[in-house]
Amino acid sequence: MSRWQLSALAGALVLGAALTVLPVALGGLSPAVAIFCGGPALFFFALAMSRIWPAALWPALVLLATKQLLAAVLSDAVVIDAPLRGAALLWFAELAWLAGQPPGLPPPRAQLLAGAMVGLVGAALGWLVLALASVPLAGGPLLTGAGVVAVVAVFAAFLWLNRSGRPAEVDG
Amino acid sequence: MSRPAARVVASRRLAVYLGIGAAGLLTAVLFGRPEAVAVVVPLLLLPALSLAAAGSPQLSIAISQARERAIEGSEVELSVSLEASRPLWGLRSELRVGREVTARPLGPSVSELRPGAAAELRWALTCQRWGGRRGGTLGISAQDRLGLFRYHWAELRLPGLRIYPAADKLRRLIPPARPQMSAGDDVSNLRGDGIEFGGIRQFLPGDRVRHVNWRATARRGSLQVNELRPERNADVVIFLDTFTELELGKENSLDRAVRAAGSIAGTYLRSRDRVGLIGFGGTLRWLAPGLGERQAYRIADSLIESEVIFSYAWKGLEVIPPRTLPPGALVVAVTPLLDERSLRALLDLGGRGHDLVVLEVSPLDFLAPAHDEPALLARRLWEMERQALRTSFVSVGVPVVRWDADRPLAAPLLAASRFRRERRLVAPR
Repeated sequence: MSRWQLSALAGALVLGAALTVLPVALGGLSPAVAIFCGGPALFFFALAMSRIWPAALWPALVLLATKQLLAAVLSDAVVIDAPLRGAALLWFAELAWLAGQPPGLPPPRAQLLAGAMVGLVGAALGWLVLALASVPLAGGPLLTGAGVVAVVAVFAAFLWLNRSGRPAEVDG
Repeated sequence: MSRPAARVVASRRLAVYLGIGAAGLLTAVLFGRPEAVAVVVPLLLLPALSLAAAGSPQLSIAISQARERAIEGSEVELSVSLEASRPLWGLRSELRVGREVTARPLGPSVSELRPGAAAELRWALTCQRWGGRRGGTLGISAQDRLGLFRYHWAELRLPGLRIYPAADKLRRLIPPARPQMSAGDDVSNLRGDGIEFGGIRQFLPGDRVRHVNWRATARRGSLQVNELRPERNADVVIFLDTFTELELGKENSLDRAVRAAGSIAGTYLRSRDRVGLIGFGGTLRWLAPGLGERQAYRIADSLIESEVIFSYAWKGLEVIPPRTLPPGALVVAVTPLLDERSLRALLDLGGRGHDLVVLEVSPLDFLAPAHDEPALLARRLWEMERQALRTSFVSVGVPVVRWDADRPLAAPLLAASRFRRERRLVAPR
């Protein structure tokens, strides 16, 4: 593992730990749920980083994301840091994926920068969503319809990608 | 320069991001919690940007190979020039060249392609084994900037490479019993014009005065003349037995037989002899005897196509075209002496009075060592049977010389020449 990959791994580890601990620490989630999702997530993460099962990174990410979604749903108050959690989730995934790349590659500065920028812009968009949601707008069915269309569109994209080609095993 | 179409494959990462994004949106709609959207927005933004930029990039590929022909053990450089229409990262290449060749990357590895700047991938192809390689394939893959899509250019055909067997250097060959009439390097048994001394005899009317041997004349008291032997060329036919092959590890009896046949044919051709080839096996291949460099290439091309094709069909001498075996030709059979059909054919050749030499590619080199008593006994019995077989050849005046792996090819050929000289089958040198 090269030096930049070790740095990426350290960054992913810090973000993964934060994503596991913070929802409990901030009081949005019970410790049982946190352990149920976070424990296996860290186990899968360790499996992926030790190259025993590189594809284990994705179940780890799914578990961490599930935990954040559960924290958002189960919380009584508005989770104002949800966009930051989303950005952290993306950075965690990107750093862990880069750390798991074959050694000997040059540091992908452009990709790191792009990931950082997308995370920040995504967080800003997330806050915009939260801000729009807090505005008392009439016409609930219209907005709900827009949400349903968005869900269907994303699922359609997901299915199209699965049909267009087998996901590459090596590069994750 | 070719521009093949790329196959676009979405990475598992993209699918996972989209899956989480879809789950977040669904959660938001079902539970009425906008925070779920806020959590998944960054994970949806990255695929959205990547999908917007996705599309099949154009890659111009030019493949060139330094040579189309090479000798076993030599290296041939293969270079692939790549030019992309847009930036590509994570470049990987996979070369499939078959078992005759091994590929070693040359130069620094290339991982990025920039538009307008050609990158070159180079390999040194080491020719491990003779053969007419049809060309391998090259697969290239690269990814977009975010690594969410991978582009594959697979099955790019590589140029063919004909690998000729490495020839042993032979200084002396088996002299033919009956040289032909054209001038060459072999001393004939016949008396005539030439350089080589053949003997002394009484002067006869018509003899040239310059052939008179004055010392012998003075000693014997009558006119004596030198007899000379003319230098003639020979017709040589290489009989390659391709019915069976033995393999132990990387060693193969057919490989050795082909190398020997190539060495012998090349050396005879350099001595201005006419050389032909008979590949006697599951399929019959032949080349009528010919002279010169063109014939050397024809023989080499024919040899590298040699392969053992399993067949039950009985084959005898009748299947060999008559012009392939000219009268008086020296037949050098390269065989492991294992298949009954080739044994019969060779005994038939010897019995019909053809000038035949059998070079036995020793099968013992390809047998696993015997450890227990029954195996040792079986080995001894088998070796005795083989010795009896050799004796049956010798009884019809055909020398059988064994070529073991640890001996140079020149050694058995020298033994065959000695056998023939002792039996007065050829003129002494």
